[in-house]
Amino acid sequence: MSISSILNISKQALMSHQSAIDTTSGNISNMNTEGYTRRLTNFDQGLGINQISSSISDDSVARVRDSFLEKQYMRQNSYFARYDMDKTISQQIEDILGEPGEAGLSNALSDFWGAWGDLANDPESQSVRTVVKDKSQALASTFNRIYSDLAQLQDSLQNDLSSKVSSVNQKLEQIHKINKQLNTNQSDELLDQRDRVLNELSELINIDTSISDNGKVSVYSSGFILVSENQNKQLQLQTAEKGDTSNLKLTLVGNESEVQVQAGEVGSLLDMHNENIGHYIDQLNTLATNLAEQVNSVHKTGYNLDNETGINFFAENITSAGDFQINEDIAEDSTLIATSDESGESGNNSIAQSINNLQNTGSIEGINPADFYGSLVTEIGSKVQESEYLSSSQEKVVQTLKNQRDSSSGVSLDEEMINLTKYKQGYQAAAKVVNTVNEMMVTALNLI
Amino acid sequence: MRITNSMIARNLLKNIQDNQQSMYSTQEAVSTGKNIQEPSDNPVGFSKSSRFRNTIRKNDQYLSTLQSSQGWIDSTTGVLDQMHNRLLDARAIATRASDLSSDDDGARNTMANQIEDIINELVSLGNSTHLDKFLFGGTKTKGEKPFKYENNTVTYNGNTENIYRKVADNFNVAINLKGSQLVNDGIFSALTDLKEALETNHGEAINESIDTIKDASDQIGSMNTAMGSLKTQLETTEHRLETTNLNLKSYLSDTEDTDMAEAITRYNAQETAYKAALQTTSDALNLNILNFIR
Repeated sequence: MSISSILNISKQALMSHQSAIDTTSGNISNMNTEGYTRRLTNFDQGLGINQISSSISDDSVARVRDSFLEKQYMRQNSYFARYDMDKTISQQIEDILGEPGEAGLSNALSDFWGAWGDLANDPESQSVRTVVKDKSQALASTFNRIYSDLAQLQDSLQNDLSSKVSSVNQKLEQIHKINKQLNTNQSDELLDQRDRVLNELSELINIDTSISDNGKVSVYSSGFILVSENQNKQLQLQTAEKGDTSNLKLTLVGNESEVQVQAGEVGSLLDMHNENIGHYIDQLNTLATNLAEQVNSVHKTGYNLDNETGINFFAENITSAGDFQINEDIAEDSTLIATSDESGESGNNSIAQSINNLQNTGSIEGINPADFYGSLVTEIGSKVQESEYLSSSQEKVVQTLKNQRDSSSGVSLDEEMINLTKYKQGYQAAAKVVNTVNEMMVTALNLI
Repeated sequence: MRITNSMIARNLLKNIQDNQQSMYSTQEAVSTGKNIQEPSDNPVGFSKSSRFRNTIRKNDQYLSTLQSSQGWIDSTTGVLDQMHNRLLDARAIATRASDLSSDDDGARNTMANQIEDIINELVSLGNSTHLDKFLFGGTKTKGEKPFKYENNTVTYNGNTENIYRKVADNFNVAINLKGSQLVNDGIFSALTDLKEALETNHGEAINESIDTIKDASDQIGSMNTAMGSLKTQLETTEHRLETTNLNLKSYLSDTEDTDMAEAITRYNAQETAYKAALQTTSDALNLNILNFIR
């Protein structure tokens, strides 16, 4: 063995330790990067150096476990995103109702019945009629406000949906691009980026993935293939008329069949838009239209103090809580409010009493109005409670999976610092070898 | 398990946030005094308490109706008392008149005038109002007066309808005394007959009217008794409603209001946990290999 070959070995040792320190510094600087997979430095016997990321280690057992964890994480994260979005939206709905509170519909309804009760107690009074008119207008504007707030929320969900869908499409395209790049360049950065995009995608819709040996990924959702090595599908939002409200559905571009998204933010937005808010608005409309109809049918048969009859109390043909309002004539002139079921009986309160009694009868689908609305509020409250619970328990699941993932592929500062020290010492030792070889050379030259 | 820095940071942050969240909700319950801020805090409790609230409001309505009905009944009994007294006066006059000899027609004429005054008084009592509503006009509570005295006859212009007030669930009560009843029971005719007898100096008719006036005043008395028992009935109802509302309010408070002792104790426990979380966080973040290697 020649002396110069020792120098060569030392050179390799210096270079490999330098490279190891480079890897360590890369790990340290990315220790807080979400989705970063730590790199390991493997010294092989020939003192060559391999840089591998732990997730695509050649150890096939390790890879299977990791990709299982990765799939699990995406699946659970999809559901977490869904429940969290459910929670946010249903909390907004709860806020719109404003129960219990002065501005809530329960209060307005109760004031409305109370005013009719006062009028039944004093049917001769014009001033109580004014109160009845005012309370009824307050009831109407509460109905209108809740209806328009819910409708606005529904609209804004639709906007959210279309921007989320386009972001899904963007990510699908990105994955497709990465698949292509992997043909020529199998870098760890690219694989990290692929996993990051997949994780982001899983927040939007529920996906299934399969990864081939060369790192290319196929993405499926609800039985449809979205991205593979040579395919790149796009999603689109379509309106499907259902009754008098328009429902939204997700389809593949160029394919009419619906992509049934169950999880992710898109899944939540679709359900909230189509099912929940749609249902709440329906219930509110049922309450408003039935109430107006019932009150009108009683009021029409009554007489006011000027013996006028046949007057509607609420506007005719109310179709929703949005156009719920009192008869314009009564709004202008509250003396038109009827109390008596006979002409010329100022002290007869039977109409006012009958309207007041409507609060006790099962006039809305067999349930009294306050209970009907109360059950709607309770339903929404339960939805909020349920989604709060689901999102917090799902968050724990996701946290655990994140921890498990970080446990194998995250950066530990302690470990890196120890490695750094180790490599520094190795580097120093190799330098010492060079020094020694140098002295040996000098000694050998002096022999001559 | 291999522990990495991101895991430590994530878990510490989560613990701090969880502690803060639970402290915040306890704080809210203590500072507002309410356990249920929103339906989602306790959907079942919320639906229960909103039912309680509705019933309380309905009962409050009944209570205010009860009070105004009692006012009406008090006015009615007051008027009936005065009518009763006037009838007693008339009866005394009739008794005196029957004692006079038939030639004393001058004195009988004076008495006829006194009776005329009493009739006018009774008519105006019959036209009495409570809060500007005629007490005895049936449901014609406004406009034309219920009683009119002309040509020695009293006519009734009201109707024969009852004024109903709903004072409890399934309890509709007629609170008025119809003027037609006064006419039918001969309250006015007893006096107009007496007046005519006095004017025509008809001794026998005067004697008869002593009894008819007695009957009339007995009728008034029994009407008053009926009103009195109606009032007692309303008072019983009022008492029952007040008790019910008191109970409901205490149930409402049980479901809605914060148990302060419990909440503050819980808050203290949460504060301790929060402080502990902050302490461990600060320790864990400072515990670092960099402090030990040079």
